[in-house]
Amino acid sequence: MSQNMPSYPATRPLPHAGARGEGTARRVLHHLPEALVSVLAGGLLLAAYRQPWWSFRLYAPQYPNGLGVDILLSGSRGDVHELDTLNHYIGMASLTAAAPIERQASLAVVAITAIAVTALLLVPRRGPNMLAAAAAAALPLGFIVDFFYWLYRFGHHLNPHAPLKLPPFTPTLFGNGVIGQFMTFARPELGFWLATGATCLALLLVGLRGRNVTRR
Amino acid sequence: MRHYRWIIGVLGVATAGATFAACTNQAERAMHAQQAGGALQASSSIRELMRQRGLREADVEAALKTYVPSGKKDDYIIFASGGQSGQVLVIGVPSMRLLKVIAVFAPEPWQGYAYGGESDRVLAEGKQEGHSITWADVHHPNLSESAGDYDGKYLFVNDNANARVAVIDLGDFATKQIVANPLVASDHGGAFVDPNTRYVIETSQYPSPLGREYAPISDYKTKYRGLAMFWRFDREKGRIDPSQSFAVELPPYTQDLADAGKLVSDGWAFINSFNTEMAVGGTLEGKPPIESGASQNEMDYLHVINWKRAEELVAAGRAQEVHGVRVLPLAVTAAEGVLTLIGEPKSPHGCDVTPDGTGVVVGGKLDTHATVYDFAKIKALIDGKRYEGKDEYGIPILPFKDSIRGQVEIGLGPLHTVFDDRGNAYTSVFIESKVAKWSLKDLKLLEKLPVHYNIGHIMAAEGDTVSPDGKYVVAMNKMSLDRFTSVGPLYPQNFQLIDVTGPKMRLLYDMPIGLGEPHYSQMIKADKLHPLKVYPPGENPYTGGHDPNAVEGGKERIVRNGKVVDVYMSAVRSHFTPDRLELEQGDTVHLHVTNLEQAEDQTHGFTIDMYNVNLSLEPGKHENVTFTADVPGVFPFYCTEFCSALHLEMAGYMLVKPKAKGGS
Repeated sequence: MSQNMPSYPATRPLPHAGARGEGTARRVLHHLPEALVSVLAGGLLLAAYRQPWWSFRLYAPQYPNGLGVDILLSGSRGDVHELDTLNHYIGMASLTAAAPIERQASLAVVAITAIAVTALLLVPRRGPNMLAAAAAAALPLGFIVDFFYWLYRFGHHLNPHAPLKLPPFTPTLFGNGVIGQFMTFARPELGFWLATGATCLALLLVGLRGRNVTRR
Repeated sequence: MRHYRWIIGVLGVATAGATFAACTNQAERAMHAQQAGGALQASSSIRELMRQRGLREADVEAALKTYVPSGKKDDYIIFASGGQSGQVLVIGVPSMRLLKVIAVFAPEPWQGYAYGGESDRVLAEGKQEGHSITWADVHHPNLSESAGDYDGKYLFVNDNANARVAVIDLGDFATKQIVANPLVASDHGGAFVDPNTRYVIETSQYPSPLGREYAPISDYKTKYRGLAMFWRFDREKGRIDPSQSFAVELPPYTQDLADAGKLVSDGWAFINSFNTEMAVGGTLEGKPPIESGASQNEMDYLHVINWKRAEELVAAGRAQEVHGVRVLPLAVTAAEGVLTLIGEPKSPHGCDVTPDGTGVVVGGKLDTHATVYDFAKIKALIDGKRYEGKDEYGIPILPFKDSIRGQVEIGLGPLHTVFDDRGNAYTSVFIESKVAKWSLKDLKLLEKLPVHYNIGHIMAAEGDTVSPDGKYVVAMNKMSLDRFTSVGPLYPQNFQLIDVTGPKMRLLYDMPIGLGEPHYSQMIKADKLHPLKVYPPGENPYTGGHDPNAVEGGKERIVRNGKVVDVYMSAVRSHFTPDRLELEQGDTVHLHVTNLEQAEDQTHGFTIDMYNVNLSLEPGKHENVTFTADVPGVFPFYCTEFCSALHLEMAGYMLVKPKAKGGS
């Protein structure tokens, strides 16, 4: 990669710099913010791995404090056992059976994406930078698509022998809903926002570098 | 300029996301606000309500001080003796709502206590001489203490009728152990703890030959004895350890109530007594009944026990083993300064150490005073061996006048005394049916409040700790007479809640007790209790750990081994797995049931027709039941808690095939 690295002063003169060839320290200092943003974008993705990406909260008269399930890339946590117990009445499969491959692969995918995003952002070119933004954005977008798929699948593969028979449905992904005596609230959580933040940072860097970087 | 567009774009995306998140948050908050309840429209004015219901201002004030609206919680919790019911009552204060009846000495079906499950063993521990006893005369609940203050971990309670002590774990409000005293036949002076709950003290009531032996009544003075039992409590295990316990032999006076010293008097125990006349009745032979025989002396004896000294002597091997208990013989007790007696006015009752540990207050059923003994004086007299004399067992007696701080003229029949946080004492006055408030500082009577009726014990908020809370006193009345709607000739007892925060005591509330005659109770700040909400999955509350037979979801099974059938069953809304048990007549069935639930309050029950089995399966709890399927037939089993909409469907069948007749 280093042979592709342009010499920074050649393409983007320092605002207050005098002649070329000023100290390397000065240069490093000048490009430090961009490097930090690049590392931060990758860091946000890594941090997102351990955070919940989505949450469901359900309220019913006999659950005054609500039931909460957090969806992480590696699985779900919270009142999963209780939700499974309730869901068995409508013949829904256990939440622990959802997205087995995705959960297995999630750590590797996030790690690779984070490294790739940081590396691509360190290159002061629009092409790699846009690629970085796209890679970062692929995580939250991919998550939503896959998540929706699993919600659909769970709602459309109900055990036909369940005590309560419901027509196939897709549980609400966004916002508020009502299922039986439950009021449900579904919303993105910190992990999702961190990943979105990483995408924003990538886009921000593209914007800040503007036309001053080589278009290639 | 171009890059600003990018920034604006990025900010736009972020704002949209945040707005969306805020909207779902807001909707959720709105729902909570709605649940919190709207303003109530007063339908009529308070004055009008008072007129309609005939209430005085004092009544309204009492109502406002005790009413706890739905969803709000009580500040204090009372643990009260359930008297003859054999159980312990849990009551909220100030609402005086009954929260629970803890099964202790008697079978209790709702809690599945002694109905086929693991708790059978607890009740079986309470056998005396092989006899099952399924009731108790529960007297004195005592909370465990750390440094003289309630720690909210354990509760101990004695059975006066059968000389037993139970250990209740406040982690799950369940009885974990019953120890039967093998030496004596009754125990009034229990179950008191020292300030760090090293020992649970249980002292005998009616003297009898130690070890439940026979001796003719003519041998009363030589063979009959009293006893102070020091049950060693193993806090780590949450159980009394009989092997580390010991007893101090006492003369055959009728030891009554006991209390442990605290702070300066830590290491000492005090027991009042009556019948130092050693009257034994004999009415058919024309002798006076015990009631009059025991009331001849003007003075009885306060027993002062140096239990730390007793502990040393036991460790030094001075005890004798009687029925497996290390007993310090009377001769050693008398000679080694373990036991000292002091006169106490006629037919004493009550024995209560003051919060600072410097005094002991004793009432007198036939004396009008509360006598305040001075521990410092007692200690100095003992150290200086300044005895007035000795009783016929060689036990030193201290001079009464030199041992007391003073006496307070209370009234007719002062019994028990409790304390507040402002240096006041409250004594129950049985014959007068009053609570007497007096000052510990100058021993002056301040006020008397009528109670209804025949007050026995009295109790104050954390009133027997080193730091009483004041606030509330409860009068535990033996009679209710005209207080409640008549429910037949057996009347409820009456707990009366009294506000002691003001200059004058105020009666706040009457609570009828309709299942036994309670004796003592204790009141603890509610926030000191931290009970479990659910058991960890597969917990056996009676062994205190994960049960080796606990069942996990998906691993339910039936294992047959000849005539022995092990059933590993799970319970979860709304089914048992397995739900069909095919047996043959004569099979021995070991049923292992785990409630797989982890949701609060999601309890299942389990009963099976005809077998007198009912289990309470709180979330996570595991139970083991064994029975012989001796009768052929079809036996439905089902969940006895209304656990869910499909509760009635939570059922199954046990089918017992008859033995082939005339076959091999």
